[in-house]
Amino acid sequence: MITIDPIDIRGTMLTSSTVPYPDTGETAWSGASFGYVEGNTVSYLVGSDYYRFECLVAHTSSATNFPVPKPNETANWLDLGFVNKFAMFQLDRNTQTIETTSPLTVGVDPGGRVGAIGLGNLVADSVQLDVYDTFGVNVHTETKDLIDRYVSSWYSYSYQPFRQIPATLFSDMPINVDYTFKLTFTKSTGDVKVGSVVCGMPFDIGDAQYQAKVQRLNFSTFDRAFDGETTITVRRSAPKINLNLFIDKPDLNGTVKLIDDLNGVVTAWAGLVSTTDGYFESIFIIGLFKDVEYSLDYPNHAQASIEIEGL
Amino acid sequence: MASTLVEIIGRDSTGAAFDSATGRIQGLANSASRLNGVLGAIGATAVVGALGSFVKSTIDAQDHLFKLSQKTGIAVESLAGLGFAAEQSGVELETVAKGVRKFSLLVAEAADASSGAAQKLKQLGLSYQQLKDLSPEKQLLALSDALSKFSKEDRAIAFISTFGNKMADLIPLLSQGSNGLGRMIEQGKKLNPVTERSAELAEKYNSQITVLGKSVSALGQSMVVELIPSLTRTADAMVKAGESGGFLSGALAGVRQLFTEAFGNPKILGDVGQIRREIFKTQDVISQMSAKKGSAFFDANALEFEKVKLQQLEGNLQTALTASRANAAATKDNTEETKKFAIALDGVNTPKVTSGINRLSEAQKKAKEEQQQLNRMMSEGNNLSESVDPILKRNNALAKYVDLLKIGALSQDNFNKLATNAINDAEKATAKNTDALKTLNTETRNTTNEVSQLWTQAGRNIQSALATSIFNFFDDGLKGMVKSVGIAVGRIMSEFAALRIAQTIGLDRMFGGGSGQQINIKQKGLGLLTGLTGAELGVDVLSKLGGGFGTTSFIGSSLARVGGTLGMFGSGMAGASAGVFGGAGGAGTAFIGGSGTALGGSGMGAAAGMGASFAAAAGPAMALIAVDAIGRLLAGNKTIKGFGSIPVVGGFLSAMFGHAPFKFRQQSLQGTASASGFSGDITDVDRAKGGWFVSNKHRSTKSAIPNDIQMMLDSSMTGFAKSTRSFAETLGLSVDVVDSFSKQVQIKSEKGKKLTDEAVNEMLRGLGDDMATAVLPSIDSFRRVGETASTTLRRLSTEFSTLTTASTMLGKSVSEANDFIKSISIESRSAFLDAAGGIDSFGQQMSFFSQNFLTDAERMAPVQQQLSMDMQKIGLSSSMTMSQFKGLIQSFGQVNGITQDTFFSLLKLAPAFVQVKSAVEITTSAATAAARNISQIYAASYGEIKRLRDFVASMQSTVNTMTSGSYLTDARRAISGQADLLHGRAVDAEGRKLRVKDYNPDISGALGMLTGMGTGTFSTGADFRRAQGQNIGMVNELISGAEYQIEKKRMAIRRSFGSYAVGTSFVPETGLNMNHRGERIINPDQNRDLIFSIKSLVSAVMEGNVHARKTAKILTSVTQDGNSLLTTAA
Repeated sequence: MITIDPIDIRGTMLTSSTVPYPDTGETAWSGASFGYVEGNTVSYLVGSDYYRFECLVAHTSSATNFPVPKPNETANWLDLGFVNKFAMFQLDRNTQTIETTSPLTVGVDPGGRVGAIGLGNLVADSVQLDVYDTFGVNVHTETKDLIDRYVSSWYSYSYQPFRQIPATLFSDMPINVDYTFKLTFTKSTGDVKVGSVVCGMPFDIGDAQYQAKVQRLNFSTFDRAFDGETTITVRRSAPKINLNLFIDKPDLNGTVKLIDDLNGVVTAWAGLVSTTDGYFESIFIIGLFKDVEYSLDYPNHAQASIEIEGL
Repeated sequence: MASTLVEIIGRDSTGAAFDSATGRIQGLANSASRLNGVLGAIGATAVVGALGSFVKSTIDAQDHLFKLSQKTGIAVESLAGLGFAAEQSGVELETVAKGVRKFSLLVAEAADASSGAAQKLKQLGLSYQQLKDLSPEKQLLALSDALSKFSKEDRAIAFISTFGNKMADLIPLLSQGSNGLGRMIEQGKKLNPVTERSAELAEKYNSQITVLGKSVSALGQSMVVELIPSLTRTADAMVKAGESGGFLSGALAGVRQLFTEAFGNPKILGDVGQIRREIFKTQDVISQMSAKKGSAFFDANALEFEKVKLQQLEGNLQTALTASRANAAATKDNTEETKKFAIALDGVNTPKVTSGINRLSEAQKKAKEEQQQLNRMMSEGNNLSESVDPILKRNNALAKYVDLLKIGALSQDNFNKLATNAINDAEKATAKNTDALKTLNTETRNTTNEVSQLWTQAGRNIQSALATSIFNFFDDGLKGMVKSVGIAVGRIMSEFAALRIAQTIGLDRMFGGGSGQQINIKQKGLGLLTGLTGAELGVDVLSKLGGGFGTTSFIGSSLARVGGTLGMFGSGMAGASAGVFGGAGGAGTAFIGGSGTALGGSGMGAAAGMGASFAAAAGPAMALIAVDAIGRLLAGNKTIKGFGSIPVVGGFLSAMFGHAPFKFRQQSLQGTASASGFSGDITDVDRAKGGWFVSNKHRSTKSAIPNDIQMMLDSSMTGFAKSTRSFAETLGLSVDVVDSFSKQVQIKSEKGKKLTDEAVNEMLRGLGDDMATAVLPSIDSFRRVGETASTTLRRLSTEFSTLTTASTMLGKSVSEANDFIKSISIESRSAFLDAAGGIDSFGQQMSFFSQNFLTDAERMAPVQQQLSMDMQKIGLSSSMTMSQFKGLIQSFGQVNGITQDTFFSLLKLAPAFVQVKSAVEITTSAATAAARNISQIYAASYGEIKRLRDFVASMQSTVNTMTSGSYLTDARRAISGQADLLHGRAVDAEGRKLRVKDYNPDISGALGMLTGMGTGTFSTGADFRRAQGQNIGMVNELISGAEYQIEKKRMAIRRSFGSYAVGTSFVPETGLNMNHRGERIINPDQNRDLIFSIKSLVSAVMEGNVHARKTAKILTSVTQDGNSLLTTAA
């Protein structure tokens, strides 16, 4: 199993993108006594990140009445996350970058070594990775299909709908501190949406064992009134996996240290690196670990269990 | 020499009666001694041993089986077998019996096919039809069959679901099916050979004699099957005799029956005794006849006849003694058979059987020893019998020597020597017999010491025997006296023997005395006859008899122990008695004369001398009168039915066995005290004081508690409950314990007195304390010196109330105060109040503070809160009006009216309600009066402003806590409508603008809905936040509308109010105004007239018609002679 020590892609690290800033509805916030009404959206630079806000309560802005992102939102503004262009790089939100016209292409200069890129919350037909050296020479190209159809008969070939593969992983990238990469998401029709792009150095944290537990934390509610009438509130579900790992004794300390460093950090966790494996999607998750427990069961191997929850 | 001869003969003739009497006494003593030996031996023979070892437990076991049989309907034999089977399966027979009963009940209930019982049977694979006609035993077998068909797990589930967990122990027993269980039952029947009849008799026996034991011996089973009928007859005889003749008769009858049953052939001992008596009698006759030899009255044929008769009697005696030996041998054989039976059972080799065999072996060993002792005693009895009459031999020898002397065949010297030798031999034999009697006394004393439980009864029986002897005292002269005493000795010894047997088999419990009764007797002896316990009395009797003293001496000796005048009189009697004998026997014998010289000697003082003199002078007749008088004196008011009137001894009998009339002894009050009152009764106990050897009789009479006391008890208990409940509620303790309080109480008066008010009050105080302790079990730890539990509880309650009141004065709400004070430990509360100088002092201080520093509203607030809480407790609101309150109370008893509890509660709360409402009314009146003093415009404007400000404030706080939801459209609409109204944007259906006064600030319901909005219906957090934003925007709009109105009102006020400096041109609304010194108030008419006049004046001046008169006229028209404004109104 690998995980990625993620690099935050911010500001100029995003060297190119087909998604503009400001995008629609991302008018910069005005602090000069501007009357905002409910539903207005603005963009606002907080630190080095551009956020998008939605006005909740009609009010007149002032120098002291400005939008504040989570977790300290004010009553007047709703934090919608990074602006569209950067949304895919805000890993702690499950917001997506949406491009109405395919392809959606982003160029990234990570400023460090990138050996793997995990992609999640995708709506696209395929994604292509191009890695460039300092001279702009493409040193690696790799494409992942993001739609799939399991065909077992002529009937299924003819009528089985295609399935969106929501996540994938590039794990065999050439590693160089100066390399840049470009991701191109294409979709034949409709908007292209990219939720999470996690790039960084991958680390092996042990061999995932069979009998992994995969869960979906469903937040939808299904309530019945006194007369039996149902009220269904549809909400998202979040993935959750429990994996047992075998860790080589020499790797144990480093692995533990890495996992500790990833405390509270959203990143990609892949029980398998082969994206074509039937189990890949089940045990690939972009999220953060909640619990880790390991025991020194064997002379040369430790056994660990790790619980990871997706966003 | 002749004189010597005469002297010898004379001594012989005068002492004949005493010789005969002495001989009889010795004979009887020997007999008694032998009897004692025999019975003593019997007490430890196989019969008694077997009884002691097996009877009790076996009877109990069979009794138990009989009862179980009655409960379960299973035959006793089968139950015995089932008991074995149960034991093998590790379950108690009682549990099996319960299971059988439960199953039988289940079968009966299953008659209803739709019942749960039928379903349970069905689950077991059984049916009502299948079981209904079977005996319980067969039902059990059928159940066992059904259960055996289940798997082990299913069997347990099926059984427990039917019979419950408590019966789970039966599963192993019932798992083996009917065949297995039946086999075990049959085997058990063989090992426990019990019959229905024997069990029934055992039950009957136990019902009369409380003997309980638990161990069951298989060995004892077979033995007791034969013994139980005998024991039952014994008990029956005792009960029957007791019913007809009193307790003493019952005991004697029981002993007699016991003898009959124990020895199998009751005639043996009876024959021996009878034959012995006949022998004595015949010997006596022969002696008398022989003494007449040589006189005209001598009848040689008759003498010969008596001698032949004596020989026959002696032969009969030997036959009887042989029969007695045969009886002992039969007993031995019986034990041998028992042993064989035990050995036969050895094959079973169960621990109980082994234990039984061991016990049997010990019993056999002991029986052998005792048999040997019996034989030895019987042999001694024979020897004694042979030498029973040394005096008679001496007399015969002397008679023979006299005859020889008369015919010259014997010289005087030789005669003297032979006579001397004969006399010496006789004296030696007498001494030997005396020693034997001493031995008898010692044995008797030892036996007496061994007697524990039965001594009371034995003492009574001994006294009965003595009484009989006294009764027959003078029936037949001196000989009759001795004879009756001899019979008494025999009976006494029988009592001893009976005691041992009765003790062994548990008959002693019938006497109901036990050690306690023995103590009573001894205490009685200390009180009445110091040291004259039953045991000592028996020893004394034997001692006196053995020493040759008569009954009078005994009585006198006994009385001497009484002490005082009576004692001295008794001592004199003892001497007098000896004197009587001395008179009768002459001075010739030291035996009598020695005592005779003690005439009055042991008596001290005048009373002793009088008693002695009286007895000596009046002779036997007077002595009888004296004895009778003494007996009556001792008896006092005690009487004994049928015996009290008997001369001479009637008094003594009454004193010893009689009862005084019933007199009131004690009164008790008992019953159950509860929160609702007291239920019980009063019992008066009367006592009939018993004689020396009988216990007191008691008679109880129950009666209802007199009404006035009952009412007092009830009201006290309900009062306790009410106050304790109130205290508990105040302290926040559970009141359930008060409502469920129940206690059994009993108080008794002092001896001889009725119950006093103080005693009843003390009981009630105790109950009050018990109730208080029930409410607060740890109350003792809070008690102070001099406090009872109830007063402590009252103090704690008062402390709590005082402190909560003080807390409310310090600004806390009632509930806050309650919680706060509850959070403080009870000790701390007390300590705080102590530090404040006590409850009263603290209360006064707080009262001063309240009266002088708090407003009426502040003082009233806790009262209002308390009222609200109290009203809330009964489901009502305190916001009702006086008339509503009145109507509510008046609805009691009407259809849909309030309940009785509510009625009482409302009446209780009425004062507080009136107080609060009065305060409100006062406040309202004051506010109204104040309002009248304020300008209407000020009220209209500033009141509105205040209202709006409050509203804004409430809105602001609402915003802070508000959440929202899309489903709250109506709420939003209501708020929006009010906002539009405040902004002046609202119009009615016809398009007319609504006025602000139509504003309804009571939109708390709508706001509450917004405030209560949850996240439940939102799909995302963002949606929720958006809804919140809408709500907040809505409220902000409302706030801005209110602020708009405030501003508007402010402007109106600003316009309407001028200043003192500039005044005001217009007062838009009617109201009060503040006036300054020298100002004048004019009404609108005056104002109008004034303006009109001024205008006219100005106009006139402008027209140029300056005419002083006209001007004066104009001015005059508006003034009162120029002094003041003249108005139309004026």
